[in-house]
Amino acid sequence: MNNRSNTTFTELEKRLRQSAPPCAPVHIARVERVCASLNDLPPTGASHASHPAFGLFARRVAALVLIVLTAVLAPRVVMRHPQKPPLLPFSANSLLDGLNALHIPQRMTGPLATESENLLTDLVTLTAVVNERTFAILF
Amino acid sequence: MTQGEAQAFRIVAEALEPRLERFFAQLGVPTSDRDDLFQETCLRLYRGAASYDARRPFLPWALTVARRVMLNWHRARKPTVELDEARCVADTLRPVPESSDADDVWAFARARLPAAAYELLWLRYGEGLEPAEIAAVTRRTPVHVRVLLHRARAALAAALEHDGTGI
Repeated sequence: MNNRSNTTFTELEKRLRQSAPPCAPVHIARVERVCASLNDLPPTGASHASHPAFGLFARRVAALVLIVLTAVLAPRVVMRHPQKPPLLPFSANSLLDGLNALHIPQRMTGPLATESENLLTDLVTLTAVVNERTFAILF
Repeated sequence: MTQGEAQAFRIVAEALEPRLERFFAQLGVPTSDRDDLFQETCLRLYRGAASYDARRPFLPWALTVARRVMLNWHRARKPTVELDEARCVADTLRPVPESSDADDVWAFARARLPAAAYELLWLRYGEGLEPAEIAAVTRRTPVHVRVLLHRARAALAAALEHDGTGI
Protein backbone atom coordinates (compact mmCIF):
# COMPACT_ATOMS: atom_id res chain seq x y z
CA MET A 1 0.00 0.00 0.00
CA ASN A 2 2.76 2.35 1.06
CA ASN A 3 4.90 1.41 -1.94
CA ARG A 4 1.96 2.02 -4.23
CA SER A 5 1.41 5.43 -2.64
CA ASN A 6 5.08 6.33 -3.04
CA THR A 7 5.05 5.22 -6.64
CA THR A 8 1.92 7.25 -7.26
CA PHE A 9 3.47 10.35 -5.73
CA THR A 10 6.71 9.86 -7.65
CA GLU A 11 4.83 9.55 -10.91
CA LEU A 12 2.73 12.58 -10.05
CA GLU A 13 5.83 14.64 -9.24
CA LYS A 14 7.40 13.56 -12.51
CA ARG A 15 4.28 14.48 -14.43
CA LEU A 16 4.03 17.88 -12.71
CA ARG A 17 7.66 18.69 -13.51
CA GLN A 18 7.39 17.60 -17.11
CA SER A 19 4.14 19.39 -17.83
CA ALA A 20 5.09 22.73 -16.25
CA PRO A 21 4.54 25.38 -18.92
CA PRO A 22 7.79 26.84 -20.25
CA CYS A 23 8.73 30.48 -19.87
CA ALA A 24 7.69 32.83 -22.62
CA PRO A 25 10.32 34.91 -24.46
CA VAL A 26 11.44 38.11 -22.78
CA HIS A 27 9.00 40.96 -23.14
CA ILE A 28 11.58 43.61 -24.07
CA ALA A 29 9.15 46.52 -24.01
CA ARG A 30 8.21 45.68 -20.44
CA VAL A 31 11.86 45.58 -19.40
CA GLU A 32 12.44 48.91 -21.14
CA ARG A 33 9.58 50.47 -19.22
CA VAL A 34 10.94 49.23 -15.92
CA CYS A 35 14.43 50.51 -16.69
CA ALA A 36 12.99 53.88 -17.70
CA SER A 37 11.00 54.11 -14.50
CA LEU A 38 14.14 53.41 -12.49
CA ASN A 39 15.87 56.38 -14.10
CA ASP A 40 13.03 58.59 -12.91
CA LEU A 41 13.33 57.43 -9.35
CA PRO A 42 14.59 59.99 -6.84
CA PRO A 43 17.89 58.92 -5.36
CA THR A 44 16.81 56.91 -2.36
CA GLY A 45 19.16 56.48 0.49
CA ALA A 46 21.23 59.53 -0.39
CA SER A 47 19.07 61.69 1.82
CA HIS A 48 19.18 59.14 4.61
CA ALA A 49 22.83 58.21 4.34
CA SER A 50 24.94 60.09 6.82
CA HIS A 51 28.32 61.52 6.03
CA PRO A 52 31.15 59.19 7.03
CA ALA A 53 32.56 61.80 9.37
CA PHE A 54 29.25 62.20 11.14
CA GLY A 55 29.67 59.03 13.18
CA LEU A 56 33.07 60.08 14.47
CA PHE A 57 31.80 63.56 15.21
CA ALA A 58 28.78 62.21 17.06
CA ARG A 59 30.97 59.93 19.16
CA ARG A 60 33.25 62.80 20.10
CA VAL A 61 30.32 65.01 21.04
CA ALA A 62 28.81 62.22 23.11
CA ALA A 63 32.11 61.67 24.93
CA LEU A 64 32.44 65.40 25.58
CA VAL A 65 28.93 65.64 26.95
CA LEU A 66 29.55 62.63 29.15
CA ILE A 67 32.65 64.26 30.60
CA VAL A 68 30.86 67.55 31.17
CA LEU A 69 27.90 65.86 32.81
CA THR A 70 30.18 63.88 35.07
CA ALA A 71 32.04 67.05 36.02
CA VAL A 72 28.78 68.84 36.79
CA LEU A 73 27.03 66.06 38.63
CA ALA A 74 29.91 64.71 40.65
CA PRO A 75 30.33 67.85 42.85
CA ARG A 76 26.59 67.86 43.51
CA VAL A 77 26.76 64.34 44.79
CA VAL A 78 29.72 65.23 46.94
CA MET A 79 27.93 68.31 48.29
CA ARG A 80 25.07 66.18 49.52
CA HIS A 81 27.53 64.56 51.88
CA PRO A 82 29.92 67.31 52.82
CA GLN A 83 33.23 66.27 54.21
CA LYS A 84 33.34 66.17 57.95
CA PRO A 85 35.84 68.45 59.65
CA PRO A 86 39.15 66.81 60.46
CA LEU A 87 39.32 65.11 63.76
CA LEU A 88 40.90 66.99 66.53
CA PRO A 89 43.86 65.50 68.33
CA PHE A 90 42.61 63.24 71.00
CA SER A 91 44.06 61.70 74.04
CA ALA A 92 44.47 58.04 74.93
CA ASN A 93 41.47 58.21 77.23
CA SER A 94 39.26 59.57 74.58
CA LEU A 95 40.55 56.85 72.23
CA LEU A 96 39.68 54.21 74.77
CA ASP A 97 36.30 55.75 75.28
CA GLY A 98 35.83 55.65 71.56
CA LEU A 99 36.91 52.03 71.42
CA ASN A 100 34.48 51.23 74.16
CA ALA A 101 31.79 52.88 72.15
CA LEU A 102 32.82 50.88 69.10
CA HIS A 103 32.82 47.72 71.13
CA ILE A 104 29.03 47.49 70.81
CA PRO A 105 28.50 46.56 67.15
CA GLN A 106 24.75 47.20 67.21
CA ARG A 107 25.38 50.91 67.56
CA MET A 108 27.27 51.08 64.25
CA THR A 109 24.81 49.02 62.20
CA GLY A 110 22.27 51.77 61.79
CA PRO A 111 24.60 54.60 60.67
CA LEU A 112 26.54 52.33 58.33
CA ALA A 113 23.39 51.04 56.69
CA THR A 114 22.09 54.57 56.24
CA GLU A 115 25.38 55.68 54.74
CA SER A 116 25.42 52.70 52.44
CA GLU A 117 21.88 53.42 51.30
CA ASN A 118 22.73 57.05 50.66
CA LEU A 119 25.78 56.13 48.61
CA LEU A 120 23.82 53.56 46.64
CA THR A 121 21.02 56.04 45.90
CA ASP A 122 23.53 58.62 44.74
CA LEU A 123 25.26 56.13 42.47
CA VAL A 124 21.97 55.00 40.93
CA THR A 125 20.86 58.57 40.37
CA LEU A 126 24.17 59.53 38.80
CA THR A 127 24.17 56.48 36.52
CA ALA A 128 20.58 57.06 35.43
CA VAL A 129 21.18 60.70 34.62
CA VAL A 130 24.37 59.97 32.69
CA ASN A 131 22.71 57.14 30.77
CA GLU A 132 19.67 59.24 29.96
CA ARG A 133 21.75 62.11 28.62
CA THR A 134 24.05 59.81 26.68
CA PHE A 135 21.22 57.87 25.05
CA ALA A 136 19.41 61.10 24.25
CA ILE A 137 22.45 62.30 22.36
CA LEU A 138 23.24 59.03 20.62
CA PHE A 139 19.70 58.10 19.60
CA MET B 1 21.61 55.53 -10.78
CA THR B 2 24.96 54.98 -12.44
CA GLN B 3 25.51 53.50 -15.89
CA GLY B 4 26.84 50.27 -14.42
CA GLU B 5 23.86 49.92 -12.11
CA ALA B 6 21.48 50.48 -15.02
CA GLN B 7 23.16 47.80 -17.11
CA ALA B 8 23.22 45.35 -14.21
CA PHE B 9 19.58 46.02 -13.47
CA ARG B 10 18.63 45.50 -17.11
CA ILE B 11 20.33 42.10 -17.09
CA VAL B 12 18.49 41.09 -13.94
CA ALA B 13 15.17 42.39 -15.26
CA GLU B 14 15.57 40.56 -18.54
CA ALA B 15 16.35 37.33 -16.73
CA LEU B 16 13.48 37.76 -14.32
CA GLU B 17 10.74 38.89 -16.68
CA PRO B 18 9.84 35.47 -18.16
CA ARG B 19 9.94 33.82 -14.74
CA LEU B 20 7.75 36.44 -13.10
CA GLU B 21 5.39 36.52 -16.07
CA ARG B 22 4.88 32.77 -15.72
CA PHE B 23 4.66 33.01 -11.91
CA PHE B 24 1.97 35.69 -12.03
CA ALA B 25 0.10 33.88 -14.79
CA GLN B 26 0.07 30.62 -12.88
CA LEU B 27 -1.20 32.29 -9.73
CA GLY B 28 -4.15 33.89 -11.43
CA VAL B 29 -3.02 37.46 -12.16
CA PRO B 30 -4.75 38.71 -15.31
CA THR B 31 -2.59 39.77 -18.24
CA SER B 32 -3.60 43.41 -17.87
CA ASP B 33 -2.14 43.61 -14.35
CA ARG B 34 1.07 41.65 -14.84
CA ASP B 35 2.89 44.65 -16.25
CA ASP B 36 2.21 46.71 -13.12
CA LEU B 37 3.13 43.85 -10.82
CA PHE B 38 6.37 43.21 -12.67
CA GLN B 39 7.30 46.89 -12.49
CA GLU B 40 6.48 47.11 -8.79
CA THR B 41 8.46 43.94 -8.09
CA CYS B 42 11.50 45.25 -9.95
CA LEU B 43 11.36 48.57 -8.12
CA ARG B 44 11.20 46.80 -4.78
CA LEU B 45 14.08 44.54 -5.73
CA TYR B 46 16.13 47.57 -6.69
CA ARG B 47 15.32 49.41 -3.49
CA GLY B 48 15.96 46.36 -1.36
CA ALA B 49 19.10 45.24 -3.15
CA ALA B 50 21.19 46.11 -0.10
CA SER B 51 19.29 43.56 1.97
CA TYR B 52 19.99 40.71 -0.48
CA ASP B 53 22.40 38.10 0.82
CA ALA B 54 24.58 37.20 -2.17
CA ARG B 55 25.41 33.82 -0.65
CA ARG B 56 21.83 32.70 -1.18
CA PRO B 57 20.12 31.97 -4.49
CA PHE B 58 18.54 34.97 -6.14
CA LEU B 59 15.31 33.47 -7.49
CA PRO B 60 13.68 32.62 -4.13
CA TRP B 61 14.38 36.15 -2.94
CA ALA B 62 12.89 37.63 -6.09
CA LEU B 63 9.87 35.34 -5.84
CA THR B 64 9.39 36.36 -2.21
CA VAL B 65 9.18 40.00 -3.25
CA ALA B 66 6.97 39.18 -6.23
CA ARG B 67 4.62 37.16 -4.04
CA ARG B 68 4.26 40.02 -1.57
CA VAL B 69 3.53 42.43 -4.40
CA MET B 70 0.93 40.00 -5.71
CA LEU B 71 -0.69 39.61 -2.30
CA ASN B 72 -0.90 43.39 -1.93
CA TRP B 73 -2.50 43.52 -5.34
CA HIS B 74 -5.02 40.87 -4.27
CA ARG B 75 -5.86 42.83 -1.13
CA ALA B 76 -6.25 46.06 -3.02
CA ARG B 77 -8.63 44.67 -5.61
CA LYS B 78 -11.14 42.97 -3.37
CA PRO B 79 -13.06 44.11 -0.28
CA THR B 80 -11.89 43.13 3.15
CA VAL B 81 -13.73 40.13 4.55
CA GLU B 82 -13.25 37.71 7.40
CA LEU B 83 -10.33 35.32 7.14
CA ASP B 84 -12.38 32.15 6.67
CA GLU B 85 -14.49 33.83 4.05
CA ALA B 86 -11.44 35.32 2.39
CA ARG B 87 -10.18 31.89 1.48
CA CYS B 88 -13.51 31.05 -0.12
CA VAL B 89 -13.53 34.38 -1.94
CA ALA B 90 -10.01 33.78 -3.20
CA ASP B 91 -11.04 30.39 -4.47
CA THR B 92 -14.19 31.63 -6.14
CA LEU B 93 -12.49 34.63 -7.72
CA ARG B 94 -9.64 32.51 -8.97
CA PRO B 95 -9.97 32.27 -12.72
CA VAL B 96 -10.82 28.72 -13.56
CA PRO B 97 -9.40 27.65 -16.89
CA GLU B 98 -11.88 26.73 -19.53
CA SER B 99 -10.36 23.33 -20.06
CA SER B 100 -9.66 21.55 -16.81
CA ASP B 101 -8.73 18.49 -18.75
CA ALA B 102 -6.69 16.03 -16.76
CA ASP B 103 -4.22 15.88 -19.64
CA ASP B 104 -3.08 19.33 -18.53
CA VAL B 105 -2.31 18.44 -14.96
CA TRP B 106 -1.61 22.04 -13.97
CA ALA B 107 -4.94 23.28 -15.24
CA PHE B 108 -6.57 20.34 -13.50
CA ALA B 109 -4.78 21.15 -10.25
CA ARG B 110 -5.70 24.82 -10.50
CA ALA B 111 -9.34 23.91 -10.94
CA ARG B 112 -9.48 21.33 -8.16
CA LEU B 113 -7.06 22.42 -5.43
CA PRO B 114 -7.28 25.37 -3.03
CA ALA B 115 -5.20 28.38 -4.06
CA ALA B 116 -2.63 27.88 -1.28
CA ALA B 117 -2.06 24.23 -2.19
CA TYR B 118 -1.74 25.07 -5.87
CA GLU B 119 0.78 27.81 -5.07
CA LEU B 120 2.93 25.39 -3.11
CA LEU B 121 2.80 22.80 -5.88
CA TRP B 122 3.76 25.43 -8.41
CA LEU B 123 6.69 26.70 -6.37
CA ARG B 124 7.94 23.14 -5.84
CA TYR B 125 7.47 21.60 -9.28
CA GLY B 126 6.94 24.59 -11.55
CA GLU B 127 9.69 26.84 -10.22
CA GLY B 128 11.79 23.99 -8.88
CA LEU B 129 12.32 25.43 -5.41
CA GLU B 130 13.34 23.29 -2.46
CA PRO B 131 10.96 23.07 0.52
CA ALA B 132 13.27 25.26 2.61
CA GLU B 133 13.23 27.92 -0.11
CA ILE B 134 9.44 27.67 -0.38
CA ALA B 135 9.27 28.12 3.37
CA ALA B 136 11.24 31.35 3.07
CA VAL B 137 9.06 32.56 0.21
CA THR B 138 5.77 31.77 1.91
CA ARG B 139 6.89 32.53 5.47
CA ARG B 140 6.25 29.05 6.77
CA THR B 141 8.49 26.52 8.43
CA PRO B 142 10.10 23.88 6.17
CA VAL B 143 8.27 21.12 8.04
CA HIS B 144 4.96 22.88 7.51
CA VAL B 145 5.74 23.25 3.81
CA ARG B 146 6.55 19.54 3.53
CA VAL B 147 3.29 18.62 5.23
CA LEU B 148 1.26 20.97 3.04
CA LEU B 149 3.01 19.68 -0.08
CA HIS B 150 2.23 16.12 0.90
CA ARG B 151 -1.42 17.00 1.41
CA ALA B 152 -1.56 18.87 -1.89
CA ARG B 153 -0.05 15.92 -3.75
CA ALA B 154 -2.45 13.53 -2.04
CA ALA B 155 -5.43 15.74 -2.86
CA LEU B 156 -4.34 16.05 -6.47
CA ALA B 157 -3.74 12.32 -6.78
CA ALA B 158 -7.15 11.60 -5.26
CA ALA B 159 -8.80 14.08 -7.62
CA LEU B 160 -7.10 12.48 -10.60
CA GLU B 161 -8.17 9.03 -9.42
CA HIS B 162 -11.70 10.23 -8.82
CA ASP B 163 -11.79 11.79 -12.25
CA GLY B 164 -10.97 8.40 -13.64
CA THR B 165 -7.90 9.50 -15.54
CA GLY B 166 -5.38 8.26 -13.03
CA ILE B 167 -1.84 9.52 -12.81
